[in-house]
Amino acid sequence: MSEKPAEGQTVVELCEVKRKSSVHIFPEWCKGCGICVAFCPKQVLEMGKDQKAHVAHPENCIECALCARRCPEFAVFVSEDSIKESKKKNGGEK
Amino acid sequence: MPTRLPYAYRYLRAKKKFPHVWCPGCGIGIVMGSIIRAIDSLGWELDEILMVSGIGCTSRMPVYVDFNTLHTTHGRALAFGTGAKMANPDLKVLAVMGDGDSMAIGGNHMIHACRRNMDITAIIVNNNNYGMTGGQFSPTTPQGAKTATTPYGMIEPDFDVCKLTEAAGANFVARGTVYHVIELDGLIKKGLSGNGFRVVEVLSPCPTNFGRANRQGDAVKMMELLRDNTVNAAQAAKLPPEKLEGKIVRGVFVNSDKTGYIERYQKLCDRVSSEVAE
Amino acid sequence: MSGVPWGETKLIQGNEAVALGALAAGIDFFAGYPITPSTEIAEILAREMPIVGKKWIQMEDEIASISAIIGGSLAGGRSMTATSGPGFSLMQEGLGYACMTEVPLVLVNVMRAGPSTGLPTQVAQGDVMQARWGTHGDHPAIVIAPADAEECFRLTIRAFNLAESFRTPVILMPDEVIGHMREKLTFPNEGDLCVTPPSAPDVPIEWYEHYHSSATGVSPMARFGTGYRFHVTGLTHDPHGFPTRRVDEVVSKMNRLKQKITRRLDMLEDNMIHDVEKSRVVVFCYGSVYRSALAAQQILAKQRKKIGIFRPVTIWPFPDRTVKELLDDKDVILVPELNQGQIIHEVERLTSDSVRVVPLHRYDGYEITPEQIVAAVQEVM
Repeated sequence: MSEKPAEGQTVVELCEVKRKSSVHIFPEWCKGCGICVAFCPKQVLEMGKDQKAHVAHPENCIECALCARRCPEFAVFVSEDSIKESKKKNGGEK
Repeated sequence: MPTRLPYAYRYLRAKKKFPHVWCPGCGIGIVMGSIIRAIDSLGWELDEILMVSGIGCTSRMPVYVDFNTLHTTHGRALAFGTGAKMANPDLKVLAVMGDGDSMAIGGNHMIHACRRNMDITAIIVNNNNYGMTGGQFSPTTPQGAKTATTPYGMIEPDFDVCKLTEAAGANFVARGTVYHVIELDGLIKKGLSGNGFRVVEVLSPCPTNFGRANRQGDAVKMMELLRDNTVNAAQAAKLPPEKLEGKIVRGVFVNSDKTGYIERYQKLCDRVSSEVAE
Repeated sequence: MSGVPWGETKLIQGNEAVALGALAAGIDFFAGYPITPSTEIAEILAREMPIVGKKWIQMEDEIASISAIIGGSLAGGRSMTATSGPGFSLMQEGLGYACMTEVPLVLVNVMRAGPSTGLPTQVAQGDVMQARWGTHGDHPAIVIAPADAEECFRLTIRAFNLAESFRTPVILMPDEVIGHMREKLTFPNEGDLCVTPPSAPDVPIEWYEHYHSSATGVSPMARFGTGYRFHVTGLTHDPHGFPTRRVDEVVSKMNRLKQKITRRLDMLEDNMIHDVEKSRVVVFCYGSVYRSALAAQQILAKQRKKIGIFRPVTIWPFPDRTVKELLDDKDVILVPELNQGQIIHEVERLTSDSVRVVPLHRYDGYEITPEQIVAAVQEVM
C-alpha cells in the first residue's frame, strides 16, 4: 500500500477505509491514462502524484463497475460481494 | 455482467507479463476485457476458442488470452481462420483485427468471408490509423485528418466498415465504442452468438498517434469525443438530419440468420456422399 | 471413378496422380485457387473430397489459400494447396510463416514458363531457386521434383510424410510436362502404403512446449482444440511460442530451424543414379528433362557412347556430399535445364575446376529433347 494516512487518521483507520472499498486498483498495471478517474459518476477516484489512479472516496462508490470495464489495463476491479447489476439507478454511460 | 478479478484472470495467460504492450489510454485493452466478459457470460470452454489476428496493435491481443491463439500475417487473419474453422468446425473462431489490417491489406479476405458467410466473428478495432507503425493513414482515416502519411490532410474518402460488410453479406453487423462499454459487452456477446459471419466494429482512441497528430487531446478527451460524436440507433431515429450530421451511429445494423458456410458445406457432403452410395 | 483405384492399373495424368496421392495420404483439407497448369488437382479434389466428408474450399486468391491451409493444419487437418508460378510468388509470405511456425503442409507448384504471366500452358523449370529462397529470411526448404505419374502419386504421399516428420512445408514441384502427361500407373494396394500419422504431444498439458528442442530438432505438435492452448506467431519466439528478442532465444530458434534439416539429410536425400561410376560424362538433370536424358542414354548406347545420369529427386536440400563424391572426378557434367541456368550453380559450386560443367538451356516453353542431349554430349565427347 503506497498511501499515507490523512491528517489525523491512523494507519488502522486508513486500512479500515481501504478494506471497505469495493473498487481496487492494481498500481503495477496502472498506466495513468486517467480514464477511470474522469468518468467515474461519483468521483470516487483520483489521479495521484505518482501518475497512478487511487481510490480517494470509496464511501461514494456505487459499484457500477464502469471504471473496471473502461480500464484498458485490467488494473481496476470491483470486489465480488457487492455488485449491483442495475445501470439505470446507479449511473449509466451517458 | 459482473466485473471481478477471479474471472478475468482465468482468461489471461499467466506466463505473459502484464502490463501489456498497448499505450496508456489505448482502447484495445477495453475491447479485450469486453470480449472476456462476453465469453464468460456465454460459458465457453477455453479449449474450444480460437482467437486469430493479423498484424498491428489490435492483433497483439491473442498472446494475452488463454485460448488457442494464432497471430498471423498482415491482413490474413480471416483466411487463416477460415482454414482452421473448415478443418475443425468445433472451434469457435474469433478474429481480432485493426482497421488497416482488415480493410486495406485484408480487404479482399474480409469481403469474401462476408460473402461466404463463414462462421467466424470478426472484431474490428477502428482507431482510424495504422498505430503500430507510427500512425499512417488507413482506409478509415476521416477526410482532412493528419497522419504520418497524410501530413497535409487525408484526401481519400474513407470506408464505412458496417455498410461495406453489410453489403458483402455478413449475418451480423454492429458498431460500438470503447466508451460505451456496457453496450459493447452486449454487442460482442451478440456477435459471438450465432452462425455465419459476424462483424463488430469498435471505435477506439489512439492517443499516441492519431490523437496527437490531430490534436484531439489525451485519452480522456478522445473518450469524450466518442461519447459526444456517436449516437445509438434509437437516438438517431429521433434526431433531425441537421443534428445527425457528423455523428456516427452505434448499434446493430444487420442481424440475420442466413445459413452459414459450415452448414452449407456439411449439407453438400451429405448430399454428395449419399448420391455416390446409390 | 471415385476415390483411389487401389490395386488397379490406369492411364493417369500427372496432376490427377498428385490428387489421388493426396487422397491416399489422408488429406483432410485443401484450399486453392485455379491456375494453369495446376488446376486439375483442385478440380479433382473438389469432386472427391466432399464424397468422403473431407474439407475443400476455393479461396479468393493464393494468399488466402496458403493462409487457410496453415490454419487448417494447426486445427488438425492434413492440408495441401496447388499452384503455379504467379501463385507460388504470392504464397511466399505464407510459406515463410509456415517455416517459422513449423506447420506441416504440402504445396504443389506445377512449374510453367515465367517470369510473371509468362507462358501459362508451357513448361519450364524456372522456379528452382525461388523454391529454395523465395521467401525472406533464413528458412529451411524441402523440395521434391517428380518425373512421372507414378512418382506424382508416390511422392505426394512422401511429401505429406516428410511434412509431418520435419514439421515444415514440403514443396512438390513437377513441371508442366509431368503435370499434364498421361501414363500407365499401377496403384498399390491400400494396405501397402506407408503414411506417417499426424504427431501428437506425449507430455501433459502443463509441460508442453510448442517448439521443444529434441535430438532431431522436431517435437510433436499439438493441434488447436485438443486441450493444449498454445500461441502461434510469425514473430521470432521462445520454445513456448511467445515472441522474444532475447539473443539466446533467437539464435536457438534459428539454429534449430536449420538443424532440423541438416541433422537428417539422409532422410531427405533421394537421387536416381544411372551408370555414373563408370562414365566420364554425366548428365545432371531433374523433372521432365530426366525422361529425355534416359532416352538420350539409350540412343548414345547404340552409338557405343556411355553416359551416366544423376538425377536429384529431392532438389532441396541439395545432395552436396553425394554430388561431390560421385561427380568431382568426371570430365564433363552436362546440365540440361528448362531455364537460363539455376541448378547448374550448385553443381559448379561442388565440383573442382578440373570438371567441365556444360549448360544446355532451353527456355522457349518447349521440352529439351533426347536429340538435343545427344547432340550436346557428342559435342563434348
